[in-house]
Formats: sequence, structure tokens, C-alpha cells
Amino acid sequence: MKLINFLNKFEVKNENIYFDEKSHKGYWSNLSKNENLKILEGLKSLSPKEVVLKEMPNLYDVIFSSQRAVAAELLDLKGHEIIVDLGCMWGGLTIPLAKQSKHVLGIDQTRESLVFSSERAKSENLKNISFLNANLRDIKLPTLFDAAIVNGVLEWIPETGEVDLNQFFKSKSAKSKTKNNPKVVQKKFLKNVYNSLNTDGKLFLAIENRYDYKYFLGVNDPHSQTLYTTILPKKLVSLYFRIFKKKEYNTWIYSFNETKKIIEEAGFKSVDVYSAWPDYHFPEQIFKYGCLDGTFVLPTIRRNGKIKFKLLVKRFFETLLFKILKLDFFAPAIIIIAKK
Amino acid sequence: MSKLKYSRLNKTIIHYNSDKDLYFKSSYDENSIAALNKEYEGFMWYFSKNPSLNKLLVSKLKKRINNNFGKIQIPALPGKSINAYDPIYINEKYILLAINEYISISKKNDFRFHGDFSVGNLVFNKKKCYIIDWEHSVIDNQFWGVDILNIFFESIFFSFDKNVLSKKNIRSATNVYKRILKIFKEKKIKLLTIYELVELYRSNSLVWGNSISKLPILKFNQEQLRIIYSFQKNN
Repeated sequence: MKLINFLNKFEVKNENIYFDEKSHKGYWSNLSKNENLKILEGLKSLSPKEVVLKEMPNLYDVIFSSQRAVAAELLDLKGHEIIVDLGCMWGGLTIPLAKQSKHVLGIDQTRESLVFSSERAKSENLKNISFLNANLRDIKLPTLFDAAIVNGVLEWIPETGEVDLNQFFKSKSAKSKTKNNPKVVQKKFLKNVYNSLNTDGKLFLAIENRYDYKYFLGVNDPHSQTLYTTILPKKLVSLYFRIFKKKEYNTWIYSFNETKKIIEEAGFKSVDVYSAWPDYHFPEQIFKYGCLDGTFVLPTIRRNGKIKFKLLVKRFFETLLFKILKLDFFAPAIIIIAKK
Repeated sequence: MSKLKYSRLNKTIIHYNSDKDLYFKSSYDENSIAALNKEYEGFMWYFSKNPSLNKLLVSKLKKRINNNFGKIQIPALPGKSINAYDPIYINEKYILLAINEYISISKKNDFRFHGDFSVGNLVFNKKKCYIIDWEHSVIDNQFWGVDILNIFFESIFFSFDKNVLSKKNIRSATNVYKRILKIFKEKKIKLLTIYELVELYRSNSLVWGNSISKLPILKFNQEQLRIIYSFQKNN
């Protein structure tokens, strides 16, 4: 009832999409606006799965694989929960979560993603989902949720400009500049999430680890497509970005301990930290941080039946760091389950 | 403490919570949800045959299953896992314990086919072992005793060094096989040859779904099959 009252404050654009006029201006997508328009056009005659297979087959698993929701198992949902999925995009978690909870509210600043997710919910005959087109930085949520999902979102919160991901990495000029320190913006957002949760409500947060061992081996930071940005001091990287890239470095990510500290500073009391492999998008194994054990499974060295040099290197480092030394400090991804 | 694994093959999440000593298995996939249901039914049946398991433990077996999502909660049974990939001369005593456990719960007219009766799907303590992972289990009398043959032949599979079985492996295999022969003789049930067993698995592949590809029984080469058949004939 409280959720309906809250949503009724907004304009209804579609039977289950609400629209926050004050804060809606925003765009974050792996696709350009033209590509998104094609998707919406396709939805008039095709199902969501058919459209994705036709227009963006490489993103099929990103959108539809239920492996996306593996880590959400840590929330230990019982079925009675009202959940808010902040930055829900194409419903990668929204849809699976709706299958095991009372209601899910998906919030995203990109209208096109919500129209797609809404069609997806309909095609799966899920009636316990609502969507709100709003900006995550500005929206004031009421205290009514049993769980909040922040999946791959915290690092993007300080980025105020429109993000068409492919253009974003190529762009040399910043369309917008953040006045505040990114960490301050992230903490403010987390405080808002904290306030939206009921007593004993839980936060699920997933994010890359700034000290993922692969960043030391020459893999780009996925948020800036630049080498070593996550592992170097943030002030130094910010200076580098201003001088050489003519834009701000806003997509800050942290170590395990730093992430835990930020969440505690936002008010959360009990913060459980987990490490995930190979990433948090498609996790295959998750351990409580500091409790890595002998059941850790090493990655394969073969692709399409052939041994690959890059995979051999990966296996060597994972054997050394995780199987032998149990140094999950260098794990690829961080998952947090925090209670209010 | 929690740890969580995802099986891509079965599209199932396996979550172990050591604080509560519970396993949670969940899935969004239709076939995997059906397998979770079978696993729940299998455990229910198994617990009903094991009065020695305390009621508190048994009461922790729970399920929440609908068309879109399935989740079962399974209490961790008292015992340790053993490496199923070890050869039969190492695992002989465990296989014999497993066969004893199987026979103690399986009557000719009241029995459930486990479907993946392997050293890896058992936990052992000093006196006894417990059977876990019932996701392929079915009630079907044509499979009586097949589980026992499965654990034996699977162990043989991991005992082959290319196409050769060492003397100590043959000695252990003979010990286990004598026990199996005795059981089948007592129950007056025909003991299948390795060829007949392979055929039975292939003709009932639906029992295993996607997992059929991982069954060692179906991975023997022709020479290994011939060696096993000859072993059966000589015993």
C-alpha cells in the first residue's frame, strides 16, 4: 500500500512505468539512443528475447541469463519482501528477484531500458513489478523496502552526464563535471538507500574490486578503459584525466575494506563482505571475504578445446594468489550484504 | 560463513551456510526446478528410511517451488566428503560402506533409484555413510541394483591407467564385485553386464537430462569396456 501511495505521486506513462518529472533527465546504456530506438521499434512486433537476438545478440546473456542473479541468493529471500532495484536497466536482476519476492520496484534513469524491462516482465507474466523512471541521485525514496539492490551502480553514481557507454570511453571532453568528491556523492546515495530500508532491511551491493589482480597485469579499468587507474591514488588519476583526457575521473571503485567502510559510514550496522569470481555479473563462485578455502575452482585454460596463452597466465596467477596464498584481497569483485 | 557455487550445467545455485550447517539449492530454470523437486522427494524418502537421523536435522529439509523459481533447503549430514576420483584400491572400504548403506534402505518393493550413486555423492563418518544429491532420483523398479553397479564401475573408470588396471586395483575390484554378486544372488536379480548397463543408461537418458554427459559409465572406451566385460565373466 505504501509503495502504491509512493508511486501514485508520479505520472504513469505505461501501466507499470511511472515517471519522475523532476529527476528523469539522464541516460546510461550500453547502447546508443538510435540502437535503443530500434529495440523499442522491434518490441512492437517481436518478443523481448527475439528483439535482442535480432538487434544485439552479444548482449543476450547479459540480459536474460539467470546466472546474473546468482549472488542475490545471499539475500536469503523468503518471498514476502518488497525490493527496490536501483539502476535496474534491462531487468537482469529485477526479473529473477520478482520470481522469489512479493514485489520489485525497478528504478532507472534510462526510459528505453524500462520500456524493454516492462515488456520483458509482461512476456514472463510477472505482475509484481513496477518501474520508475528517475535519477538515482535525486529520487527521495520512502522507508518501505525490505531489500535494496545496487548492482554495478555505485561507481556510476557520481557521473552526472549522459552515458552512452561506447561513446563515453571515446569522448575527450566532459559533458558535465561533478562538483563534489565522487566518494561524497556515493555516500550520500548510500545514505538515501539506507533510509529507504525497513528495520532489518538488507542492502545488496556488487562492484569491482580496485585491486583485482588483472588490473596489475595490464587489463583496463572497465569504467574508464584506461590502464592502472583503479590501483593508483585517486588524486593522481584525477589529475591525469583532467590534463590528458579533458574530463573528470568519477567512477571510483574501492578495495574490500574501503567498500565496507563506506557502507558502514552510510549507517549500515552489520556488513558481510564476499569475494566473487570470475566477476559479479556472472558469478560462479562466491566466498565470504577472508574465508577462501580449498574448494576454490581454477579457471579453464581452454577455449573451444584449444589451450590459450592468456588463459594459462590467468590460471597461473589464480593458482598462486587464490589456491595457494588464499589472497582474496586481489579477487575480481566485491559483494556486500548489509543490514540496516 | 557462506560459500556459493553456480553449476552452469545444471543452472543451479548451491549455497552452503556453515553457521546454520545448511545447503540451499535454487534455480530459475524449468528443468532444474524439476530436478530440485526430485531431490527434495529423494531426501524425504531417504530420511524416512533413516530413523537414526535426529528429528531436528530432518525437520530442516524444506522446499519453496513454483513454476518460476525453486529453492530447497537441505541439512548438512554428519560426515566428510571423499575424493571420488581416487582409484578403487584407495576407495574400496568406502564403496563397501556405501553398498551396505544402500542395501539397508532399499527393499525390493520399496526403493528409490538414486541415479548418481557415486563416492562423491556420499558423506562418511567412522561407522556409516549418508547419501546426498538426490536430484536424479526416481521410483522405477527396473533400476534395482543399478546404483550399486554405478558406484563400482565409476570407481573402475577412475582406476584405469589408459587401458590398464593395476594388480592392486584388480584385487580391490574383485573384493567389491564378490559383495555385489552375493547381493544380486540373494535378491534373485539378474546382474547386468557393463554393455547392458551402458545400454540401460542410454535408453533412459531423460532421467539425467543435461547431466548424462558427465556420467563416467558412459565414458569408457571400447577396450576398457572389453576388459570390464572379461572381468565380469571371470568372476
